[in-house]
Amino acid sequence: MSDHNPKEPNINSLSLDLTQLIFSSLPLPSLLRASAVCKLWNSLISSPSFTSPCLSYPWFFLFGLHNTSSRNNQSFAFDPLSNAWFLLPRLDDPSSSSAFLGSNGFFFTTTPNFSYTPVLKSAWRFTSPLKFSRLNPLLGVFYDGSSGGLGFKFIVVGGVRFIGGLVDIEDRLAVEIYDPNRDSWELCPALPADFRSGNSSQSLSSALFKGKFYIFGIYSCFVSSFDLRNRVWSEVQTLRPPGVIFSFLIPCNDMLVLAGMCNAPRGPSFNLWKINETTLEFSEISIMPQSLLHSLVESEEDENFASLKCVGMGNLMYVFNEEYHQKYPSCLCEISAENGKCSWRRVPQLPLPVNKFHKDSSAIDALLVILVIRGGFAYYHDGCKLSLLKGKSNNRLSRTPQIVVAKQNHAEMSLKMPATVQFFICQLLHLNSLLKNIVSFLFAESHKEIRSQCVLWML
Amino acid sequence: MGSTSTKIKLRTSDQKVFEVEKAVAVQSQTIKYFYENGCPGSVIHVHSVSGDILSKILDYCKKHVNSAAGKEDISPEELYEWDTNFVKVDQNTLFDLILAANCLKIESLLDLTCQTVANMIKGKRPEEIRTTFNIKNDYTPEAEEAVRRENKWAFDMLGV
Repeated sequence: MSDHNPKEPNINSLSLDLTQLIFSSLPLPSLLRASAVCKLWNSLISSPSFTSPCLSYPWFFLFGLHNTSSRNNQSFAFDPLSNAWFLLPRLDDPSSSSAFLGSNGFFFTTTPNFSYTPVLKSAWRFTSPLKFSRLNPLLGVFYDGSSGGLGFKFIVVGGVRFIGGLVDIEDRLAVEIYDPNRDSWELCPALPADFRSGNSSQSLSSALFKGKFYIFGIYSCFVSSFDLRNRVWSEVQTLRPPGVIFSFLIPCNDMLVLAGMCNAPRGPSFNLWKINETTLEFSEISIMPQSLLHSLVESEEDENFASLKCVGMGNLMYVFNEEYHQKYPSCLCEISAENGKCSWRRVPQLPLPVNKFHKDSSAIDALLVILVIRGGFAYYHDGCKLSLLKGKSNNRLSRTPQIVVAKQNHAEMSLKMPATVQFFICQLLHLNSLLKNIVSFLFAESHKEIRSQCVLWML
Repeated sequence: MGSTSTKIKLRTSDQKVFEVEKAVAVQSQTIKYFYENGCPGSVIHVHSVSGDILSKILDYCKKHVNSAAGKEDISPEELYEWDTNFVKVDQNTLFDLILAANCLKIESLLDLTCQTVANMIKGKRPEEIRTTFNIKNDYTPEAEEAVRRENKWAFDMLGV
């Protein structure tokens, strides 16, 4: 029985604050299981005032899609807080498409049909066709208050067109932006011509940062950004730190980071540079320890480093080897939001056995989709700018959580602009059931105002 | 130094009086506040903490103050082990320590004790957690099944 002597404290005699404090140091799987213990615990964990570092650390996902047999598909997720891999349910394939992409918590197929689903949910939706069907475009999910209803839109940049089984590399495909409320695609100016000789996601990396969709040539080092509000491209510039062989542009904390392989005089190295997005000046912030770099490749020949890829967001960056069959070794770098200090560590091996997947979909054997998504974010739109709100501190005792930040900002906005349409999109990527209450909370709050909406993506 | 030998008097809920070195007592932000804002030399009442628990807490503060001040030659690993042993207590004492650490505002102790409870939850199935903490399951079987189904992967993956 739960009845206990009131003089003898048990866990439920602690204040709710203290119970939540205990929960805040649990890794996500434990937290989810704890929510099944009793109704009180479930409500505490679902409460808008509850926060946990496990919601703010970006997870690393690895989805292997086997072309011949979907039974060989495998999905893994890495939780950086518990330092463990999870085997996820297999990913379904909506149309036997091999053109899978992952971005910002969604999966996409781009040909023969464009479809999308939240990661982990497998609830595929087909859109009206792209004006220009394409393979391997760059895809971004952005939040835009102007669209009404669902606040997100998809941006599709570049990619290649198949004409009679051949790839037309000369084609400059228009940027297309999808509005899920109207189920329509809007055509925008194409990626600048400088990117022509390699305008697919194989040779470009992209970063959504401060209302702009940055496109960066992994090998060419060209960079340009698409202004999501004014629908224009910036001038193409070059961002090439000395010695860099290939690199990726990544939005981390409040800065843009360039991460790439360098041919330094002392041998190959993997470096991080902080980028000033206005001047494009760069300054080195970290170098991956040599022992870690070598643990990512089979041998130290140069070509082995060529298969290193990098993804990241928030405070974490993951570097992995996509060619190293059966093992896919990876490591991560945590960038402190407070002092910018970088600390590197090895990610444990995947739970074996792992099937063979290739990222290169032209090989059409099987496909590897890698993405990184954060435990929870909240975006808001205040009528003139799109901002990302996030908890600043990873301190366990810190009480400035993401949801509370959102809540507070919401309250502030409600006061300031009662007659404006307000959007709240919480993209809380892991805590499906937990977060329903948060939605109802936000919704209830916003309902008081004239016209407000909020959407939760339950993944 | 003169200030370290200053003593602070504390009276517990069961009327026990402790005379404690200032450096040790002010590990508690609450005591520190009362000391700095009260009359010098007066007894500080620690209403919600019993003598047994306060005595344990003072041991903890003393250990940490001494090790920080270099009075005691103890490595971080040894201190960690000392902490680990410190929280090897029955559940009642553990929760009393949490309540006291919270009320006395001793952040590192609150952290340590909460982490200890979290470790008792970590890696367990809901039914094991209920047994551990003597919690009654107030879910209907259907409602519990719904919670489990929504995050099935987390239930399949014990260990973390």
